[in-house]
Order: sequence, then structure tokens, then C-alpha cells
Amino acid sequence: MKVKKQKKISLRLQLILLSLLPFLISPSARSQTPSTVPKAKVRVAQRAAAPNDYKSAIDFFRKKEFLKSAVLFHKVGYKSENINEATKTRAKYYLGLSLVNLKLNQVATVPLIVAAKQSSDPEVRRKSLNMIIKIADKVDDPKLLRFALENLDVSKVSDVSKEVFYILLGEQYIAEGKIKEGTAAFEKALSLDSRDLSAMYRMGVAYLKLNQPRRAAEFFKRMYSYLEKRKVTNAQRGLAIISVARANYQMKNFAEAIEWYKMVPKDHPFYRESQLELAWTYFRSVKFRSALSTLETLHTPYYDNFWDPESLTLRSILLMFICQADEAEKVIQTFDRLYNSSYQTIYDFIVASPDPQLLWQEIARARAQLKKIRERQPAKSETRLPFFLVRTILDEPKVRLRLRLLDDMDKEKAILEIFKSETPFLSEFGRKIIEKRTLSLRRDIAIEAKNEIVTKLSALADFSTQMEFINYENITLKKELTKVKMSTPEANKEQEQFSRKVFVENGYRYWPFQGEYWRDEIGNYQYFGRNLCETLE
Amino acid sequence: MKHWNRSLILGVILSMAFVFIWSLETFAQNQKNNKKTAATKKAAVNTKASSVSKPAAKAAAKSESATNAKSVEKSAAPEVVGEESVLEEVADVDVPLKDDSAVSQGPPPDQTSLVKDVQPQMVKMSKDKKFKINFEDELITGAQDKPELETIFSRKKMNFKKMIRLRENFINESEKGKEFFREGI
Repeated sequence: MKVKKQKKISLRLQLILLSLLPFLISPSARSQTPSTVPKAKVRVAQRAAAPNDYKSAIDFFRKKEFLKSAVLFHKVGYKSENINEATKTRAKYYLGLSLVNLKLNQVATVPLIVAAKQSSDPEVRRKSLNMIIKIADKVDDPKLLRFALENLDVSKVSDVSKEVFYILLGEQYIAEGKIKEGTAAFEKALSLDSRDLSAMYRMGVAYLKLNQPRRAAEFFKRMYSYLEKRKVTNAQRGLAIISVARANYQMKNFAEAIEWYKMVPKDHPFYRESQLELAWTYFRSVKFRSALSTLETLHTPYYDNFWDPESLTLRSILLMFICQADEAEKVIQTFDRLYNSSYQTIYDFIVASPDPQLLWQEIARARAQLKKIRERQPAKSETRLPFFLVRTILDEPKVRLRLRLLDDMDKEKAILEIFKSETPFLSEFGRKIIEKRTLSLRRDIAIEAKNEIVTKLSALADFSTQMEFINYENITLKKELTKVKMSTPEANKEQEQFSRKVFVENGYRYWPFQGEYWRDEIGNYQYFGRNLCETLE
Repeated sequence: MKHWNRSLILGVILSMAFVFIWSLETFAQNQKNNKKTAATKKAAVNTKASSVSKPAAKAAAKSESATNAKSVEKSAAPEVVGEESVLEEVADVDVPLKDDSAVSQGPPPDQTSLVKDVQPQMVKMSKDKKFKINFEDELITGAQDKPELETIFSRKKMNFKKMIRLRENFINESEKGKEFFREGI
């Protein structure tokens, strides 16, 4: 009863307070401030900008007190009425610069765009656009880039932005299939800064596309020479190594490619990728056993939880090459269990749910699950899509980059929360921008993930067809092996020659297999047996 | 007289019509035969029959006679001197290549079907025909320093070309590397 009474009283109080709320807030405040901002702060921020504010903001900016300068520039740029438009747009430009220095890149883009669009001063416009290019390159926003490139004259671009500009221009050409024009643009970027790794790498990739791997290798090696002294786990260093290996592979210089692939350290993000490519290289240089051992690494439980149908296809073919039909059959079954069975689920999900929000939810769940796994907590799969697919998608560079931006935006949000007590208006201004950007970024991630899934599905269809052929040939091989086994019983006796308990040869001691392997000694095991392919011949 | 004239004219017209129809039929028959021969030749060249080595297959593609001899290998078992040699016909060889009866009557082989099944029926040999095969100019000496995967493909009996698409490059993977520069790692 008491509880009910208390509830009634609290409800009445709430109603009374709600009805009085409009009278508590002053009319001017009601028209301009959001309800979340404290009353005292509102009055401070509401004060019209004084003519001195712009000067003092500039002083703060020069002293590198960016928060104070940002507050004042925001006031001058957005909240003043008596100041002329030219000063306002200048203030917006400086607000953008101050925000960039406060690591609020996403928030900074809005005043900079306004300054670039509205300013009558060509200098302010040029500088704003230059800054936008830098931010766009940093945050990888294609819309922002397009806006900057459309409004900018190359002759008026600053040297630092010029580099970015030429790289972006080259990328644009490459995307349109004009590879030679693309390389010319990258050359220009390199002429501005000969140590520009990004331009160097793009140049290499362009030459790979032009099927000139020798020239590509030159650029990648040059890139590696600049990165050689960095940490072995450095991503760009590893990228340079793996790129040289790829160029060598393309020019069919397999021996050198193998040496470069082996240089990728085990704890490097490119290690998993390098293993499959190394297996291909071994395969192409007819080193089947080495290729198999590399693939074994990929099929250990540590790497097993990734979408990688290609490695299974390659493994089954390698096993058939050495006439291990039974082993090949196991691989075919694994492929069927993992990929063929999940194909329909994925297809249905992608076709049935075109809403990017649903895909975003899947990604968010997979991220949470992955976080738990990394923290070694018990994680239950809650995704509708197979976890090993979504996990691989999370690792795709385009998705990973955007997810990182999303995390950066969360950080920006946190920074704005800290500033909230000091600068409520600026915080509110930033919060709205961040919220809008977050929504669009989530949508972008979902769309990008969907594209990746579709690409993987179409590749899987090809691999499935290949597997059907492999299965057919494997059945034929098994049939042949059985025929040989039945027709020549003497061949089986050969194995029995080695069935002694222990014997010594060439410094080795041999024991018969007792049905147990020790994982740390796998590399030390040897086996005897006749090559099955020889029996077939 | 009139009757005689009429019957003569009718006879001439009929004979002309007969000749015309006959020539049309012959032309159609020839066209059909040419198509079939081309299809069987294509199938025989595309698939490397296990018994014929790589240079032999090249030679077979160049000349009709070699194709014929290659297809004959299994059924007629000619006198073979060396495995790596190219089969070549000498002047007194008389194999009815373009003859309709020599080519199998079945439809042209499908791309996906195994040519093994088609090949033994391709050429019918009569016992009286003789073969002389000259290998003297085609002798290959030496060994391969670096075995290529394609060579091994051709040695194996399995149809590996259908099973696997060899990776010629990793350009797609390289494309993705560009993102690492944006991350500023």
C-alpha cells in the first residue's frame, strides 16, 4: 500500500513539474536551447558574440589552446548576428582547424564544408578544401573526397594536399580502367615526395595490373628498403614483403617468391594470407609435400575459423596428386560440411534481408563474440550468418577501416562528453554531427559487408563446381586403387617388411606407429610406405 | 510429232531436276561430313590422350595424318619405336580420314564429357592397311631441368585442368593492401 501511495505522489509531482516547466525556462532560452543543457550554462553560451571574440579566439588558436578557440569560433561563426559574413566564414574555417587539432575530425568536416561553400574569400575556400582533402583521406569518406575534388583547382592545391590529390586522381583513373593515366598521376605524387609509400605501393599494384611484375617488384622493393628497419610486425613492412613475393609469383619466379613469403613473421597480420599464397607457390614449383605442410598450418584449430574454401580445394588436389584418395575424400567432406551446407543460409539471408540494419546487427554481434573470444571468455554464437564468414568479413580491409572509424567516432563522442560541462553548445553541435555520421557509417559498413559476402558467394559457387570435379576424379582414383589392391596382393606384403618393432638406419631409430601423435613432435615423424601413385603406374 | 516433242522436253526437265536434287544432296552430305571431321579433330587435339606425349599432340594438331595416327594408336596398335616421338605417316599409308564411314556417327563431344569415351570409336581400321612410321627427325634428347606443373598435369591421367584454376597472380589481394595506408599504421 505504501509503495502505491509513494508512486501516486511521485506521479503527481512529475505532472506538476511538467506543467510548470515552460514557465521555468525563459522564452528566449526555450526558443534556442536544447532541454539537456543546464540553465546557467545556456545563459553564458547564449550571449551574443562580442567583436573582440574573434581576435581572442585567434590568440587562443595561436597559443594552441584549441578548446577555448573552438568555443569562441563556434560562437562567432554560428551564434553571432552583428558580425559580417566574411568574419563568420573565417571563424568557421578556424573552428574546423581547432576541431581537427582536438581530434574531432568528423565534427570538423561540417564547418569546413560550410566555409568552402559560403566564403567569398578565395583564400579561405582554397584552404578549407585543402583541409577537407586531408581529412577525407584520413577518414576515407568518398563523398567528402568527391566534394573536395570537384571544387578544387589543381594549381591552387597546397603541396601536401597535392600529393593526396594526385594519389586520389590516380585511384580514380585506375577504377575507370585507365591504368597508364593512373600510373602517371602516381608518378606526379612521387615527384612531390619520393618517399611516399602509399604512392609507391599503388604504383606497384598498377604495374601488376599491367602485367609488368618486374617493374612492380622494383617499387615494392624500394618500399621495403624504407621500411626494413621498422618492427617486424609492422603492417606496412609486411605488406612490402608479401608484395615482392606476389610480384615474383606473377613473373613465375617461384624460388624467390618462396624466400620472400618465408620472411613474413608468424605473428604478423599477413601471416595467414601468406600461407595460402606460399602453398600455391610450392604447388606451382611442384613441391607438393611442402605445399601440404603449409596448408596443414591453415587447417589447424587456430586458423580454422576463417572463410577459406580455396585452401581446401588446393589441399584436396594436392592429396590427389600424391594418390591419397582417402585423405582427399575427408577434405571433400569437410568442404561439403562447411561451405556447401552454409551456402543456402547465406544466400537466403542476403536476399531475404536487403535492410542494411539487419546486417549491421549481425556484424555487431560477431564483433561482440570475437571480443569475448579474444578475452578468453565463453562465447556463444548468436549470429544468423555463419560466424566464420562474418569474422572473415570483419577482417576485410574496407570493412575493418570503417569499423575503426566507427570506433574513432565513439572516441570523439567521449571527448565531446568531457567538454559538455564547459562547452554545452559546441558539444551539442558535435553530438548531432557524430550521430548522423554514425548512422551513415553503419549503413556503409553493412553495404560493404554485403558486397564482400556476395563476392565470396560467387567465388564459392566456382569452388563448389571444382570440388564436384575433384570428387568425381577422386572416386575414379579410389576405384583404380582398389582394383590394383585386389589384383596384386603381393604389393601389400611390401608394407609388412617394415613391421619390425625397432630398427636403426642412417642414424635414425624407427618404431611402428602405435596410434598416437604428439603435436610438438609432428615435424619429427617419418613414415614408410610405397608411393600409391607408383602402384597405379 | 507433238507427243514426241512433249515427252522429250519432259524427259529433259525430269533429268535436269534429278541432277539438281542429286547435286544438292551430295553438297549437303559433304557439308555434314566436314563438320563431323572438324569436331572429332578438335576433340582429339584438345584432350591429351594418355598415350600421346605433348610434342606428339602438337604435331597432331598440325596435320590431319598425325591426328589419324594418334587416334589409331589404341585400336590398331601400330609399330611404335619411342614414347616421345611424333607419329608420322609415310606415303603408302592409306587411312580413310574424310570418309564418312571412318568417322563415328555420334554427336560432337560435349566440352564437359570425357573424351576417353569417344576416342576408341573414332577411326575404324581395316586389317589390310599397313602403317610405316618414321621417327628419325623427331628424336628428343635431354631431360627437363625444372618440371613445370603443366607437364605433370599432362602426365597424370586425371583431368586436372577442369579441377583447378591455377592462380596466375594475387592482384585482388594486392588491391586490398591499399587500405593499410589509410589506416596510418
